[in-house]
Amino acid sequence: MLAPKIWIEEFVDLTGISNKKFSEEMTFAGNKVESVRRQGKQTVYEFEITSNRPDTLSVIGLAREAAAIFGRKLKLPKSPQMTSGKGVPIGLKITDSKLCPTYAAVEIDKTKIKPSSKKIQERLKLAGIRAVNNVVDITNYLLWETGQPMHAFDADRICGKLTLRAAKKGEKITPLDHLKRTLNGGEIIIEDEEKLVDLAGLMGGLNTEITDKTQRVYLLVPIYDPVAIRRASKFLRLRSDASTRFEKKIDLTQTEPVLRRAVVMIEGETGGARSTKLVTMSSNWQSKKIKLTKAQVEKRIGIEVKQKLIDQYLNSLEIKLGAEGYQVPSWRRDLGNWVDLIEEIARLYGYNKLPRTLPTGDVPVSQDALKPNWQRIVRTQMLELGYVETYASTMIGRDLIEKVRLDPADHLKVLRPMSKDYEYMRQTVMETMVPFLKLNWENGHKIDLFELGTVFFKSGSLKKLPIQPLELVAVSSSKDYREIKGSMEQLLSRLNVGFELSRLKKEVGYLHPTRQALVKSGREVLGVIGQLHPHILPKMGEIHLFSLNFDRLVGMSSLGQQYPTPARYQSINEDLSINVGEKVMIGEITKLVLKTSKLVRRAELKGDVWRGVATLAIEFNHPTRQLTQTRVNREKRRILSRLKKELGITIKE
Amino acid sequence: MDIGKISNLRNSVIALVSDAGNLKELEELRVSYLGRKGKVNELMQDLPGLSSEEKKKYGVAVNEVKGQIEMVIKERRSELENKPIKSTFFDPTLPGVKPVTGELHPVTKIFHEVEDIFKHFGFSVATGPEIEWDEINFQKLLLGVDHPSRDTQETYYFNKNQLLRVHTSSVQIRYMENHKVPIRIISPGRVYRRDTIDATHLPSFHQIEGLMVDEKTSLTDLLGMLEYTVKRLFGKKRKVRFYGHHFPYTEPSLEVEMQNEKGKWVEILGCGMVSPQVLENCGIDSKKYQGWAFGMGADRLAMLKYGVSDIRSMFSGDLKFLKGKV
Repeated sequence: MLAPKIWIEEFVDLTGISNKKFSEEMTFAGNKVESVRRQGKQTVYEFEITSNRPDTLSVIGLAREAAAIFGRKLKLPKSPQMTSGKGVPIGLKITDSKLCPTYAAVEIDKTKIKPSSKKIQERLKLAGIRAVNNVVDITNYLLWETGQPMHAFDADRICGKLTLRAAKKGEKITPLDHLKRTLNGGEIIIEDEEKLVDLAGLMGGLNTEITDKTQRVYLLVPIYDPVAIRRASKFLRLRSDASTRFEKKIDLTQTEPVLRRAVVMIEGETGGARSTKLVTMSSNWQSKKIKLTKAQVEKRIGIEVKQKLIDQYLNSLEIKLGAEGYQVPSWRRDLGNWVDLIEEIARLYGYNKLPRTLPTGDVPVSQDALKPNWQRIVRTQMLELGYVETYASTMIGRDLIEKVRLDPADHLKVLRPMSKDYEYMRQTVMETMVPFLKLNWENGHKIDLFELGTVFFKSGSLKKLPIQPLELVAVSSSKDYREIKGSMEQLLSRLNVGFELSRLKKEVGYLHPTRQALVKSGREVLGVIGQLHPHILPKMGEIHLFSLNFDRLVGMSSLGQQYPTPARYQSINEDLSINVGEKVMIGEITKLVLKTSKLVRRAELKGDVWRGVATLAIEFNHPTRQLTQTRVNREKRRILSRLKKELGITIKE
Repeated sequence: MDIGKISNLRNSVIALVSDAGNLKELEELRVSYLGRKGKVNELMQDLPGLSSEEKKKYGVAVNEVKGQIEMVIKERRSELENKPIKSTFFDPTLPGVKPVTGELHPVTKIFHEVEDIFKHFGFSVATGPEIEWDEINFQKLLLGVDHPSRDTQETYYFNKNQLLRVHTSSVQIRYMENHKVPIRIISPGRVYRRDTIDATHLPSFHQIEGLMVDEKTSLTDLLGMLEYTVKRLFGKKRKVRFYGHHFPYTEPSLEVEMQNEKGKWVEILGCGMVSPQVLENCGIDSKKYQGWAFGMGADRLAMLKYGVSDIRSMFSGDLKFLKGKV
């Protein structure tokens, strides 16, 4: 809202208040000054008006605020007195008073339409409003000054009586912007006996616009139903200075007073004369009364406030104390209850003048506070393992889904995406990680990335929200399979989660068809590990990754055992070289070794499998006595025999 | 065992010791001759098998040799220790070879910092879903279907009732409906707005929500807590200022600005006292309890704190930026 300083000063004296002080104090009290502009010698303030204060979508409203904030007197224009007059204006039938709860109307005759006077044109220019002709300019001038919109019709182009009603679907109208509109039904329209003449509250009809030939003006100052205006504005994508006011709760008592002012101004500017009575339909507005105690004010704000000060602040906004409580003036329909009044007191006191305290009182003990902060623990562990954390967009385009060989059809899709690149919700972090791999490879980086983020799945029922677990993904272009597995082992070991690997039963689009495995813990599937499918980023060489369902993982995590228990007796370490070929998995072999002998504390592959031969490093240890070489040799024979029997494995000669 | 052998041993050791080039070699010699398994000890072990006369003769000889070897070693050690260390060209300014390190994302860092600040005051971390019910995201927060505020909060919908949450305030509702007063929570998370996508606007960004409800916490606590947070994040000298604003779910409503490094005031969060109706919507007695809430722009705070000038660099996965100064 552009408010020229000179216009505001018509209603409140701002002497001695610099632009800086004005901007700051108005802003602190809730009327944000976005900029202070200069147009020639004039200063214009650009205000940001919040949706709850349509009363400040007017110069007078802002002057009121300034008067209260700076403690100055307000001088408001009086609505001129008028004789009742003879004759009646064109009849207006309101079919539903909900659509139009109040209005005032009149006719002015013998009007000469020409440019408006210098003062009006200058003011409009400062306010950023285009001058049209004297009548239209006056309606805009008064809208800007009072916040009360109105519309002037060329009365001679109106055929018969007028009716205000809700539009039916399919009805058409061409407003002043020359663009024909087909209506949705429900929009407030005014029609005469032949045609639609007004898209009420949004824009007048082209067919009754004021032109330089207009000799008779029908002036209508209404209030419309905010919901109907808002819906119409949204559907037709049509906003105007009038609609932005009508769609909010504005003063219901100003239709007639502002009409009077309009009559006097139009008579002056056009040389015409009022030719009818004023027709009015008043609303049943009554001042709301709100009870408020000093104790309530002090409790909510947190300081002592004298009753005198409370009354002073509220009075300055013309909220006066009566027998039934504080009376809310007609332009403050946003004030509904005691907390609203406290906001007025607090903002006039000055938020920046209030003391700043820190919370005291009982600290809640909630169950959530007793759980470890798993996200932090996991992120920190990944950091320690040398991975750099990424955050990707969770909204993606079809191309990213197809790139990792997944199916867009089973992805969640938003109804009105802003662009094709942000249409679907990702189902795996891999969908957004692949472009990151490409980007960093093109820049020649060694890549070790991780992301712990939300992924989305259809829940299959409109009664449930989609399933939105957290997924942990780690990718690397520099690590081989055993190294990425090492990262995962380290992480899971830290969380005390045991795991096994097995064949994937169903193919996962982004994984290499054979170089992959399913990660399970007990019955729970935790995720997958393996090599990225070679067709996805073919120029890059081997990329390894693991992906884990974070929610399931932390469900079975604990922080207990973090340090090894030292053995009481000395271990005997033996190396066992065996022929494995390409049939048996090392994991199966070590599992069998551990199962076979209770004396084996550790059994691990030493180095790599070389030409079909694996060397196992086996640590023999007993918790309560020292083992002998003889005993160990016996155990070794038992293990070898079992390996031969169950897995067909022979010792290397 | 003969004397000749013993004196040969001694002579060869003396020669080896004088040839020893450094203390390490000398020590190795000492161990191999004088150590537990050393050659001198080997000789000593042969003694028991001799006659008592020979034992005496050789024992004396061996001990004598042992003493001589010890002395020679000691002298050589002293020589080596006193020798000036050769000066060679050493360049300390050669660039270091940096170890491979990971790095947390700047938004994660801000989340952690703010969590830690609030933990001090007994706040726990709450979470909520990103795809949320319209009722929880809007209606219970007094943003009805036709509310004008809905204009400024363009929203992504999946169907009539499910949407991508536009703020973390929905977590307030979830938490209040499931917990008793006193309540102190913060909730970091991702939110979505249907804005034009350009250089400074992405479809989603990150917020940190805060909520405190009890019998007496007031506006001054809210102001104090926010000022404290800014000072903890940016230093004691950093100033904040408050101004009136409007949110349908708070009364009074405020926005908070902070000065960036260039001295420009930038908005960092919105806040206010929770509207009594919102408390009632969650089954909390608004006559007995009151509370405040805020929503911080985490991305902006991260940019201010870590000196990031372009928001896109945080979400493009680019290692040039993400791996930090290193």
